[in-house]
Parts: sequence; C-alpha cells; structure tokens
Amino acid sequence: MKKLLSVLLSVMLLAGLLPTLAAADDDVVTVTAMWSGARPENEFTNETHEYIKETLGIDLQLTQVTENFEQQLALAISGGDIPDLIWMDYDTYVTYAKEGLFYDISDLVKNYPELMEYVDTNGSGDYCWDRMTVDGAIYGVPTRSVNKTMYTAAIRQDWLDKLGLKVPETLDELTEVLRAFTEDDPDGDGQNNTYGVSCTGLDYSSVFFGAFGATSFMDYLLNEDGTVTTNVISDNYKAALAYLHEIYEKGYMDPEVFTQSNSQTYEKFATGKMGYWPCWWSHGGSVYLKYGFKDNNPEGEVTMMYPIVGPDGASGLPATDPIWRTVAISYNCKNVEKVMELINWEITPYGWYTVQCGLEGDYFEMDDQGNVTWYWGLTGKSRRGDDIADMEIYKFIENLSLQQKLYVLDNSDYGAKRTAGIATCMTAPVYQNLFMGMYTDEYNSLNSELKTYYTNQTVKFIMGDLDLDKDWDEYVSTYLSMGGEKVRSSLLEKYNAEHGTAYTFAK
Amino acid sequence: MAAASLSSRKRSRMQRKYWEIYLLFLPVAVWYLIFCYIPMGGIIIAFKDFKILRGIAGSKWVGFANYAYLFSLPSFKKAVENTVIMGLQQLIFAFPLPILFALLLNEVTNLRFKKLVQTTSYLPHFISWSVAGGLVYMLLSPNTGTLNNLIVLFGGSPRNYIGISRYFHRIVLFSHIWKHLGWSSIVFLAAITGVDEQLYDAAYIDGAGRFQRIWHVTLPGIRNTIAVMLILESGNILSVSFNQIYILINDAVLDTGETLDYFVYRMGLSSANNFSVATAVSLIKSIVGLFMILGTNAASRRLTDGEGGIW
Amino acid sequence: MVKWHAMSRSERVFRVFNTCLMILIMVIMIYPFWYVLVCSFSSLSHIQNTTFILWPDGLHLESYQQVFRNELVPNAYLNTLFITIVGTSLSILLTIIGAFCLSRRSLPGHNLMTAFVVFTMLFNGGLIPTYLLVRELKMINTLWSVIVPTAINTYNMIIMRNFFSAVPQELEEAATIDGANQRQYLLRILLPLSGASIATITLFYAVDYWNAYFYSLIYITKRQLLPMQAILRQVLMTTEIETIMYDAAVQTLPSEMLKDAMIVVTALPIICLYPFIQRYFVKGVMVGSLKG
Repeated sequence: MKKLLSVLLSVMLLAGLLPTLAAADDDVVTVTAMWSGARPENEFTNETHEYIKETLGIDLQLTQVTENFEQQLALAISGGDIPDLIWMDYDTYVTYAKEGLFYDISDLVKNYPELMEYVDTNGSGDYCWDRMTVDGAIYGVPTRSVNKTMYTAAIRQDWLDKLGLKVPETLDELTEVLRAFTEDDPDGDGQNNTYGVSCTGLDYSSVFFGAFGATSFMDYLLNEDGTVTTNVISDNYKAALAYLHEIYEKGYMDPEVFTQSNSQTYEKFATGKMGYWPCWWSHGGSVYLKYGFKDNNPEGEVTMMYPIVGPDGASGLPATDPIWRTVAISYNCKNVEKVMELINWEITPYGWYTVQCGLEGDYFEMDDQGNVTWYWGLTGKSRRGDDIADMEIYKFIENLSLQQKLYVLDNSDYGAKRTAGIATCMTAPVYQNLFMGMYTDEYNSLNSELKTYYTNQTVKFIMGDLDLDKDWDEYVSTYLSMGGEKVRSSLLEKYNAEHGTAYTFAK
Repeated sequence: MAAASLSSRKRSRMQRKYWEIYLLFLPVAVWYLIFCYIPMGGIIIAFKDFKILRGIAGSKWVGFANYAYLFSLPSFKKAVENTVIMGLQQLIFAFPLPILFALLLNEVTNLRFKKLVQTTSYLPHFISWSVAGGLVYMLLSPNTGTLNNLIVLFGGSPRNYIGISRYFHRIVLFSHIWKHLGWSSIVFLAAITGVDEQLYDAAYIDGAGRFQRIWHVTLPGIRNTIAVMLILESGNILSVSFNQIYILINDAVLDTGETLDYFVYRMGLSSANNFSVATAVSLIKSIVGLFMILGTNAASRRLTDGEGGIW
Repeated sequence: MVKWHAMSRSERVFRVFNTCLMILIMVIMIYPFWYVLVCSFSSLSHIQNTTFILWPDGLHLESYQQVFRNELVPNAYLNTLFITIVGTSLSILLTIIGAFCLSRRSLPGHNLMTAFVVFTMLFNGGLIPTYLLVRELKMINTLWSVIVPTAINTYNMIIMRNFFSAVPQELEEAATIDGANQRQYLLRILLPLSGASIATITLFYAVDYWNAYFYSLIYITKRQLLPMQAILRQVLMTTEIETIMYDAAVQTLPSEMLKDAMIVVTALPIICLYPFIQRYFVKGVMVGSLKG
C-alpha cells in the first residue's frame, strides 16, 4: 500500500497536482528545503530520504546551492517559490526575519524538549534564544557550535623528534622550533627548503595573536575592570604584529601565508614544506586522507597542539559563535509542525547519526544506552566503498560532541587526530567577542569597509611594507576616523542598553 | 541623391525593399523587447530600498540615498580608481596586441605552421580563470616559481610578487593579454581574409616592401573592423573580469586589487537586502560605458570619414 | 613563393624574427593546457614534487575513470550538446537577420535600430527581473532557459553587421537590377560571400554556449539538466565549500588530477571545433567568388 502510494505521489508530483492533494492526505507531506552545498545525491542518500519519508511522513525535496546561496535564495523568494525549510547563516536569518519571511515559532519550540536541550548545550540556551529573537519573536532554530573554538594548530612530531625538540608550549619555545624547522633541515634532504610555519591568511594566524592576549579578528574584548578593548587597534595586537613581522623577516614564516588558498597550505603540509600549521580542528586528521601525506612522508606524524602561552602568560584562541547556522521555516509553509518534528528528530542522537552516517544496521548501530558503533573507517562493513563518504545532505543540525563519539571509535590516524583536534577546541581558553552577533546601522554600513582596511594594513605591517614604529599611530587614527569610532560606540551603546551595564572603551 | 530624381517605379521598389527589411527585423526586435527591455525596468531599484518580499513595485523610493552611501565609502572611490586604471590599461595595451598578432600571423607563409600557431594561441581561452589563476600563482611563487628562479639565477632575491600592491595591476594586465591574445585576434584574422588580393598584387608591382604592404593595404582593409572593435571594447571599460580578480586578489593587495565588481561581491551587495546598491553600481558602469561608446564612436567617425562608426 | 636566397636581407631578417616570435607565442600559449593535460595523467606525488612539469609519470587513468563514473556526466554531455547545437543554430539565425537589417545603411531609421540594439549592451535590468521573466515564461528547469534569453549577443551581431557592410555596394545594386528582392540577395549573394565571418561568429556562439555555466546554475535546480560546465564548476567549488562546513567532506574533495581530467574532458571537444572552422579563414575566398 505504501509503495503504491509513493508511486502515486511521484506521479502526482510530476503532474504538478501535489499541493492540492497532499493537504488532504495526512500520511506523507512534501517539504521543500534549501541549503548551500554540493554533495552527491545517490542510492545511499536515497535510503535516508526513503527512511525519513516512511518514519516521519516527510518527502524532503532538497535544493542544494553550490555558490551564491543568498542570491539563489533571494531569487526563489522573489519568484514566490519559498522553500519550506531554509538553512542559512545568522546574518541572512536576521535580515529575512525582519522582513517577515519566516514562521513565528516562539510558542512551538517549547513543545520539543530535545530541541530545547540541544540549544541549551554549555548553558547557552538563553543567550541563543535571545539572539534568535527578532522584533520580539523567535523565527528560527540555531544550530549550535558546542565547541568553544575552531582553531588549533598541527605540528610535525617526527621533525620535532628528529631535532630533539619537544612540543612547544610557550612562545619562546615555539620561536626556537620555528627556527629549527627553517634552518636545521628537519626533512634531512640537505636542502634549505622548509619553512617553520605556513597557514592560510590572517584568520588562521590567530593562534599567534592569542599568545599576546589578542585575536586576528575585529573582536571587542571585555577586560576585568569593565573596560572594552578594540582588538585590532590595541597594544596587544600591535605586539603580536611585531612578533609576526620578526618571524617573517627571519624567514621562519612562509612569504605566501597571505596569498595562498587553503588547499595550497594543505598541500605544503602534506609534502613537508612546513612544520607548524595553524589550522582548524579537523585539518590535522584530514591531511592523513588528503594530498598524500603518508606517501610523501612515510615517517610523518602529526600532533595537535594546545594554544601557545605568551610572554605575559596570555593564551587563547578566538571563540566560535555559539550559533553556527540557523534553520527557519517559511511563513507560508503548510506543514510547520512536521518540519519542527524533522528538526527535533535530527537533534536526537539516533536521528543525527542516521542523517550523518546512513541507516542503522548498515552504517552504524546504537544500543539502548546510546552507545554507538560506526561502520565507516573501522571495519569496512559499509557498502559505500571509498569514493562516497558523504551522506550528510539531509543533515541540518551540527553536533560536534556526537561527531566526536564517532571519531573516538576510529582508531586510524585520521580518527585519532580528529579526536585530538576536537579535544583542543572543546577545552582551550578562548577570547570572546563581546558584541558577537550584534548589529547596528553603523555596523551594517561600515564594517566591511573597516575589515578591508585593517586586513590590508595588518598584512602590510607583517610583511614590512608598513613600519610598526612609524605608521601605527596613523593606522589607528585612520581606522577610528573612517568609521571605527562610530561602529564601536554604536555597538557599545546598544550593548549597555540591553544588558544594563556601564562598560566603556579602554584607553 | 535627390528623391525627386527617382522614377516612381524605382521608388515603389525601394519602399517594398524597406518593408521587407522591417519585417525581417521584427523577430529580432521582439526578442530584444522581451529579453532586454522588459527586465530593464528593474534598474529603478537603484533608487529604491528594495525588499524582496515587497517586490520591485512595492519597495520604497529613496532617491539617491544608495549613491550617497556608495560615495561615502572610501573603498568605493578606491575601487573606481582601480577599475579605471585596469580598464584603461587593457584598452591601451591589450587591445592593439591581437591586431599586431593577427598581422604578423598573416605574414607567415607556411600554411600548416600558421594554422598550428593559430590553434594553440587561443587555447588559454578555454582554461577557466580558477585554473589560469593557479598557474599565475605557480609562475610567481617565491619558492618554486619560474620567474623567481630566473631572478635567483641572475643573482636577485626572490619575492612574492602576487602579494605586492604595486605589481598587481601589471599582473592583471599580463595575465589578461596571455589569456585573450589569440582569441581576440580571430575577428581580425577573419577581417584580413576579406582584403582584396588584387591590392596586394598591385602594391607588389609598385615595389612596396612588406611593411608598406601591411601599412598601406592590410591595415586600411581592416580599419573599419578595428574601429568597431575599439568602440565595443571602450564600452566595457569598467568591466574588468570578476573571475580574474576573484582568483588573483589576496589580503595583501586589497588596496590596489579591488575592482567595482569585486567591491559589490565583497560588500555582499548582490545578495539579500543589498540588490539596490549593487544595481546602483552597475548603473554607474552602464552610464560610463555609454559615454565611452558615444565618444569613441564620434571620434572614429571623424577619423574614417563616417564609415568606421557603429552608427 | 619567393625562394630564400632571392629574398632581400631585411626580408630574411623579418622571416626569422617572425617565425621565432610565433614559436615563442605558441609555447607560452600551449603550456597551460599542456600542464592540465599532463597533470590529468600524472600521479599526485609527481605533481607535488616537480617544480616544472613537462611530462606525466606514466599513464594514470584513474581520474578519467572517476569522471565517467559520475552518473551525472553522460547526461551533462548530452545537455551541453543540445544547448550548443540548438543554441548556436538559433543564435546564428537571429544574428544574421539582425546584422543584415542593421547593415542596410540607407534604411530610414537605421540609426535608431542600431541604438535600440546597442543600448542593451550597456543597460540591463539585473538578475531579479530577468529571473522573474524566465519564470513567467515557464522556462525554469528547462534547457531553454539557458538558450533563449541569451540567444542574441549584440557584440557578435555588430561584428557580423560590420562584415556585411564590407561587401561592395555594387553587388546589391546589380542584384536589385536583376530583380532580386532583399531575401534573395541575402541568401544567394551575401551569405555565400561571408564564409569567414559566419564561421567566426558561429565559433563565438558555439564556444559561449559550450562554456556557459552561470545561468544554468541560476535557472536549473534539477541536477540531471545541468550542463558539463556547471558540473565542472561544482567540482572546482567544492574545495572552497569545505571551509564553510565542518570539514566533514573528506574524501569527496576533488584531487588535483580529477579537476584536471574534468577540464580536459570538458574543453577538448569544443577545441576540436576550431580546425574545422579554420578553413574558412583561407585567404581569397571572397575575392575568388567576386571574380567568378
């Protein structure tokens, strides 16, 4: 009967008659969804699709957008084909929530305990719901970053061993390691062809800034005395630049740091062109599977590092926004409760593992206590083969702690380094941006402008095109006068008003 | 020719001829009306605060507010400046080279060799910028790049040229020439085939040397084509390839590398609530292009006695 | 042909110089494509550890196997072929008609028509109105959406018109005296004389249709309808997407060789079109027929 029904449904779908008939049929409803991605859709993902259809009664019609997601979403909206379920970043959510694109789910969310609990991970529930509230109503569900940061660093353990060095913990030790990696021929080929450090641009360099009590982002950091430091024009930031300029001048840092793409950095690490790699939690593990790391370095070994401690004892990494992405339902969706059910189901461990890995039995097993066994990367029981490892097209919810449980089960190098990477970013001290996720008119119109300016100037300071002693003051005053002052005052004013605080900017 | 001197038979034939042409033009005109002129109404959102849910008609008028915002941004002025520089250098340096290449290629006497050169010269056109840009990076890499290897060979020290602001415009120009030289020369080669062979023979008999023949026969023969191509090119002065900039730009050269198109992209203007500002930018490009075309067309007509214009 | 020893000194110098220059240009132009071709047949370690790649290290066909294992590829080829063949035919038809009309300089309203056409090169309504129009015409998720809205390239039409204008006025007068109407003049006299220009514009259209991906990514959401270039674009973009996500897509990341193989598979057929078109560039076609 079910089969007949599904055949019928697809026939009706082709005829374009579905909307009228589906309303009369409670069994299976069609839900359209849109997200940005380019993942394979194949017989394996179809299994998940069928499973969702049978158990939840939802025929999920997903549109994946490879590039220009916001543009494609805007076109769909302007044409009136609004997807029922939209997966987007927080900025886009706020923009459209203000315009009234989404269904008000303020009263609905409380009916889903798993959802409430998930959003409350690390006790950030109030904070997250507060930020999801636009003009007094909740229009979407946050998908959470349960990890505190994304950033960490990977280092070549075999190079350290060879040179008789230990994993550096302080900045001085790190500097010495970078020197040795550059000058003491760690790969033993008799050529001066290695760099101490290489990474992909300013974002990843944050690992260095942390040792000086700064980040490489446009953060606003709250001090203990109730003052707020504007990171990119602070003395700590300047000190970090001086250090980076020094290692750049000495040749410990790859000159291509600010011009290369992420895949180039990956490749350099995999082919042994550098030893210290400020990266994301996942990269250290991924390099075992990508770019032929083991083929190029049979002895190669990676260690994931904790943040470096600076000369004044400062240490930390830039905090990740607790709201990673958002999921919202269109205002004219006919099956709001069904969609909420789907979201809630994806939050439960069983649902999450199903959309992440594939169906139970074939790809994972879960017992009554919630212990999970994973069949990919472990025993090869998976039918999928090597080239299709990616089942996540129906996964709208992130959950790194559930993900971690999978990697712990994988005792390959890949799994081990990923586990270590997650451990770092779950526990490392972080620098929190006080105004995260806050918008003011000044911020909206000027922030991109400031970002371009500070990025460009910062890179020039590090590469020596600008002189820190001579040009720093002018940089600070230009930054403030071109809008930095307006933006930060507006943010602070809004923050103080909303939180009843009386913070001021540090001198 | 005075109309009065036409016989009535000839006039009626002329009129019939005109009607035939108008009728022939009709499908083309209809296509332009539907696919170009109807959507053109969308330009008004440059003067509106466009909200997608309200639609083009329902959005609020804001006059020149979007322009006021654009001109208040220092990076917009910088982007205009960079675009004009890159556009001009393409017009001045990259436009004449395909003509020169076509002329020289035309002088190759071995037909097989000529075809081979022609076929290879346009290959870069088929490599997308994301790959071509990767090759530019490879060539310029301070560690392994050919350019720096040569510099080291001659006793210099390697530099990361792609990360130095003042070289960026040149890198854009050279990579543009490399990618489009062969392809752009096709039109000129086709035009050269139309030059009357008898003129060459006559010039040869008159004792004209190779350069004189090029100068006095070939060039005048393709003069109108050059003029038309120049006029069309000049309208594109503010349209530096976005894909090229997107792949070559990096944090170190944001100041000299940002073009108008990249500016729109970086500001997120072409998405969500910013379509209005993006349209405002593109309208500026259109108007500048219009003036460029009108200007070059007028100049070209004057220089070629009214033949070399597009109208 | 003039014999080498009979040439003047400057003539010889020029020939040597010109040949060298052409060879140099050839090398510079061929290298990128050669590089992509070689990489597509190489192993990863060869690409990573060679500074200046000239030859592949053997014949590794894995990338090509992987390309053709993708179930979307055969369909994408058919889509691209359909778009290119149907699109080019439609475009050439409209362009010849338009260019012919615009080349009649004596026509009243000629300048107005030219302005009507040229204006659209500069001003366009942007993405949203065009999208709504295509949607209204029920072309979303059909291959027509990437053909019809871009059927005429004004740039090509102006070039074509310019070629038509170059045909001597006397021919038309002669034809008119013989009693030919405008359509007969176009079909019997103008077109046979315009081999090189029609070949050029055909090439331009065919290559444009073949390489187009932008509109297909906007108007087509059904993956089975995407052309090759859109698939290639997705493969190229996947590396960038990784940074947005939680980096879970480990093994689906395309390797360098896979990308290169995709480029070869996508670009090679259209490159092979050129030699066929090239014969129309042979000198004297027009002159010969004029004399005859």
